[in-house]
Amino acid sequence: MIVEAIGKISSPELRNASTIGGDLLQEVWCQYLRGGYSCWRNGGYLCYGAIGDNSYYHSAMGGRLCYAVYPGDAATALIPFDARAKLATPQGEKELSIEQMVPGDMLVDGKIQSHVVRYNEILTSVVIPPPKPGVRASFEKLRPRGVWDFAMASLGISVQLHDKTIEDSRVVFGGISGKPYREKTVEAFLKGKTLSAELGDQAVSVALADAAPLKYNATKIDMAKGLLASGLARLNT
Amino acid sequence: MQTIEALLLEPVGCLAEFPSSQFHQIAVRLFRRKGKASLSGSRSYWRLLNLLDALDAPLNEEKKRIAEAFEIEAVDAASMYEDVVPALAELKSMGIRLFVTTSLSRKAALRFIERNSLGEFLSGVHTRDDAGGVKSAPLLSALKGASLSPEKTMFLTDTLEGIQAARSAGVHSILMMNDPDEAQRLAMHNPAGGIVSMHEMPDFIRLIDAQNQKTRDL
Repeated sequence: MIVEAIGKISSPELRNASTIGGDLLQEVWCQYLRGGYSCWRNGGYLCYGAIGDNSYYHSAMGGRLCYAVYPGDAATALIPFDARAKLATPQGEKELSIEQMVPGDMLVDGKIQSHVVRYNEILTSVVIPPPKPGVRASFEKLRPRGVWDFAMASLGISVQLHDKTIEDSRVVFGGISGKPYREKTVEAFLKGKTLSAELGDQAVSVALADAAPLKYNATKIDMAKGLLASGLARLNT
Repeated sequence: MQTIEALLLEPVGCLAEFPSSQFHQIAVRLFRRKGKASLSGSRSYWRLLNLLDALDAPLNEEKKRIAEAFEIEAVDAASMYEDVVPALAELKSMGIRLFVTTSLSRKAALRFIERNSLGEFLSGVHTRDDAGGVKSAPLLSALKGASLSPEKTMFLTDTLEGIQAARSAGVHSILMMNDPDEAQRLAMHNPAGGIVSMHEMPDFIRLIDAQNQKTRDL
């Protein structure tokens, strides 16, 4: 699943020239930030995405000053495997879960960033624990163009099965929030359920109840729910 | 921006959604205005303030009573935004001094504060009655009365007139972006900043503080 997810990041040319660290710690791709607007991440004090065109690259799950979505795909795929990151810091090595490293908009060293890596720290490695027995996983991504585009919504999902009963799961949405959005309500709902053709629709009914779309991006939530249904269907095949 | 020490709060549109009709009624009764009320309580309120501001002499007692009665009706029908109380509590715990600075009458302002149990968070209340004027007058009254430094003070507003009032008082105008289309228009008037929700205000002030700290450390 991770290989499949990495294969959906950007274009082949950029993928072959880039690093996992670059994907995990990349700056948001808000058109207002990239267009030089004086926004929160650009020395200003206002989010233009919250009041402008927020159809593609802005959060549908609320925000914290900046409403840009976290743009990476790798984190969405790594969190379902409880992957961890190692950082070299002036105080020695530090280890964080990917979820802890990319918690969404944070004030770090006097600026807003999606991750907690400080200016004097370097991401040195990502450790993926061996999958537990009975784990199935899937990565889904919807984007405006087939290659070289960011997720309108994505999903990294893993379920640990005993026969067809779900003992544990990780459900992580990308492209809809300022962080890889772990949907623990769905995880709790899935626990003890049998993987079946109907499970997707049932899971969708409890998913993303905290959605807070901006003016133009409510479709992201529909897309994310669709991905949850299709992700669970894939795991059932 | 310098580290922020005080926040000036206009209840109408920034702390609560106010109805429009009462402010419109004041304009009709006192200024013989015609036409329909705006859908926005804030816009009706600030339009009324424009009329009050343009008066050569203060309102007589009877007109004051009429205005006050409608304002109290508006206060009673207003619904406070749910994120206000947690945000004010957090701001107060950060040591930020909070003032209600409003062009409402004193009676209406105090009723609003009491109805919504905001008294414990506030360092002061400055109304048009205390300030002897509307728009920037209550802001100036707070600055003077509490010896606030304008460059360390913010005023929250959701209208162009509010941005202008802040500018003329020398404080930072912070746009409350309640309606995205209106906020987009107002953003072109260069407010000092903007927030989508009051819950962002503590982070806003922390960010400025952190930026200043970083500058000091360099």
